[in-house]
Amino acid sequence: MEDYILEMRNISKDFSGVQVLHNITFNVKRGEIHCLVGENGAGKSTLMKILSGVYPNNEFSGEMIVNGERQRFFKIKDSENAGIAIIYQELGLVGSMTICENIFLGNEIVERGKINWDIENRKCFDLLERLHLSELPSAVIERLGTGKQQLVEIAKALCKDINILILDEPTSSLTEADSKNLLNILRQLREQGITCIYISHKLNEVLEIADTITVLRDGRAIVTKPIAEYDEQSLIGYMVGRSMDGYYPECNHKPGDVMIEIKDWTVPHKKTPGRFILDHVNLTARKGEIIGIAGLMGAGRTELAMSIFGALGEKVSEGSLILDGKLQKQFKEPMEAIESGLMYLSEDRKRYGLLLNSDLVTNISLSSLDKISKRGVIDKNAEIEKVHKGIRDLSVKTSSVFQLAKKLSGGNQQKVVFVKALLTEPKVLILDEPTRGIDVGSKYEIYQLMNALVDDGLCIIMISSELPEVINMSDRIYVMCEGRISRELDAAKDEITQEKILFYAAGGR
Amino acid sequence: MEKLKYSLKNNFQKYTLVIEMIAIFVLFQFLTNGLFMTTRNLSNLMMQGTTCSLIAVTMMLVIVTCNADLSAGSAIGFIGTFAATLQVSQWNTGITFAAVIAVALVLGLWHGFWIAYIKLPAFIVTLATQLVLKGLNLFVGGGVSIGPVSQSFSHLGKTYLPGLFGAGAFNGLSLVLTIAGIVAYFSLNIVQEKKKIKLGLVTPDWNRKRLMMIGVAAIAFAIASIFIFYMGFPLAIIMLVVLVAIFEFVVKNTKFGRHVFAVGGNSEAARLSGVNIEKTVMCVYILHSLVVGLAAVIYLGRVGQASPTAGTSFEFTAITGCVVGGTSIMGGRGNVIGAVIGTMLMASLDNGMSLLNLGQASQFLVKGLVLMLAITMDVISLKKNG
Repeated sequence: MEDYILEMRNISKDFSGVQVLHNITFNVKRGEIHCLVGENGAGKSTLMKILSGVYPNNEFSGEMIVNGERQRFFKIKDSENAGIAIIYQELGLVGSMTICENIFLGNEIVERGKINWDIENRKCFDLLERLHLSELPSAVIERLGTGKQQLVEIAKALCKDINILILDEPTSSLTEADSKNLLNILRQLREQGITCIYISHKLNEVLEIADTITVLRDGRAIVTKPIAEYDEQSLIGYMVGRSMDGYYPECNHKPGDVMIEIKDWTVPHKKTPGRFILDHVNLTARKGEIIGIAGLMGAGRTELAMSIFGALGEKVSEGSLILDGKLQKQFKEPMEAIESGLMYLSEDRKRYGLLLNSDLVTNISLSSLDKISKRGVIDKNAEIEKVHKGIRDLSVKTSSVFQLAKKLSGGNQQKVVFVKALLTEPKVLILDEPTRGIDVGSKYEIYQLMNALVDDGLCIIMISSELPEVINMSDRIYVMCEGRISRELDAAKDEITQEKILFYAAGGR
Repeated sequence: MEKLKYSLKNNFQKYTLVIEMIAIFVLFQFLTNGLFMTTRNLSNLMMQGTTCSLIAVTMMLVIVTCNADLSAGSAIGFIGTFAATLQVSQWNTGITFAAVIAVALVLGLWHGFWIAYIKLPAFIVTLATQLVLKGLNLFVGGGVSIGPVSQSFSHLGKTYLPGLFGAGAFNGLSLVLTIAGIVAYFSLNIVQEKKKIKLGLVTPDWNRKRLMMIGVAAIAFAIASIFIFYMGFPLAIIMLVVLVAIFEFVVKNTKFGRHVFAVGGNSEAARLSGVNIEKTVMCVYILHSLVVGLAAVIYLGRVGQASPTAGTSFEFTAITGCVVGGTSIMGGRGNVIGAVIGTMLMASLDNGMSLLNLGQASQFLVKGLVLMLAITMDVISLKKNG
């Protein structure tokens, strides 16, 4: 008889008639790291929301047994009392408050109406020690990097005296180094007897850390096996329901003339003179070529893209931009860049890409209204036709073009942003983390799309934190470190390896 | 049945607006012993509601961009005093109008400058302007009533359309206009629907379309008949209808309209999509100020003289009307017709309570609570769909 700390039995749930979970049984052994994988929409988040009490007990069927006791959760507090804590993709910390204040937020140690700071600080100190986080309890959250903030989240959970910790895509916004550190911490927590349920899209991470893996697909639990019985191929096979010959489609790019060239591109730091956000960056990209930009978090990759696109908000102090053979003035507004044939897709499509409460038509045509309007009046039929064609070409899965953007899955939202960008008929497309947070199947489609576009003569500049992605998709890679290009690596010369990228990204010369 | 449920759920706000309207009308009709729903009273009610409804049209755009204008009421007061002063100094009406437009433009540029370009919170900027305009009003008018304005000036506010067949039981020209409007509505809709079907954008469902068009026409005719069987359309109401038509078109069919909603829905995404946020917000404030100027002229024309307290809390009525009519205070959502109907609903409250001889105290109480209720419903419906 196995010692299960958590048993979820025959869990079924529907959203207004649409069945999203089918009779799922999910058992977690005491003290293990149990990974939950599956494509977007497979039901991972829904299952975890049931476990953490976000969906009250009367909204699904099935039963949950935690530590041998039947539990019925009606709110998040109930699951916390049962020793379960969940940490979401988006961090739930108050940026302007200190580590200590955040950790005890809603859980303050109060004596006669007054917070006992001595005890809080001491406890906080112990927790930070336990997580090897070398910050003072009085450090303000917004001054910390994302990696450290993530650890503070974990500290906050641990302080509630929990024994099951759920992490939902914890490394999606972390650098390689921060991710490694996080995984180490999780292993230590396992030694200390904390059971961990870990949701991630990054299969290499999952294979590295898991004791057991459960695969969900289309709302069903497909398989639960110990780690030794999986390899990468079989895992992907379970997730997509078919075997895939690797992640990356075959491609054969034929680079043409230089499309965009940036020389000595420099952006000084506004607050600290003498420091640079971007320091004399030189970069060229050709027609029919995918350029990768690699680097750690904070290396200035997004800032480089935004400053070229005219959206950074900080002044470019020197440098020139040559687009399609013409010397351009530095763009002050994204509008100017788009008109000149440059388009940028943000890394955060929900915050910077979509009008979530608007329909697909409004979203997609927003950047190219000029092309379908006369004297400011939109030709609505032409608009809908163009949008129709766009979402058909990219096979966006949606019930209609009037569906609200927020109702689509991550992969489909990303395709919508792509359609929108392509309607502007760009010559250069800058993609910032184009596959962040989307499932394996959609990723493959996005890669295929990128290759097809490049074959048609588009020039793509791709920023990515996923090394295999940059390596497999790029013809050349610029590695950035602290605002500078530290090295250019060429695929044609067989210079690209994971080790080299990491070496130069960390400042090697 | 499922379909009906779905449509009910999705058009929650539209239906509540209709239900509120019916409830208020029935209630007042009952309480005033039938005084409320007479053509005379309803016609007057709508004339009174016109000023605020005009403001509400562009106030809706302002709110959609996640901004506000708390100065609209005192702007009406000041522009009124300003125009009346010119009028009593024997300035000709055309020049007075030009001067009003100039003042409105300056006001719009002023707001746009601070809110769009310097990025100060609209709430504070317009609150400050509210006081500044009140000060200017007292400064220019000396705190006394000024008037009367000339005959030609008061046309916009006072005049009714002449009857075609002399004074009879109904106003001929208004009837003709109404019928013409309904015919235009029918033909425009049919042409558009046919085009859509031809392009394969919708599945043909003429029965449903016909039912909808007849419904809209019937409601429009019912409202129009209030005027037709009283004194005909006032010019002010015609101005309102024209303004609504223009802005309905702008919102649904122009680049500018899209940009306004994009800025309110997600300003960062809009900027990265190539929308010039500053310019868009600036344009909204300029348009809004011009409409406030128009409202001031119409109001002054109707009342005949400017008073130091004129326009007080008009912005409140307009904002409440917008929210009641489905404009979200979180930005990005709203519609012109809803805003006007909402504001007219607020005017009905005013009118009904006046008929019942309820004093200011209860009027303030009721209107404040209505705003609270409307915002609560807005937030709840956002949560449901969010």
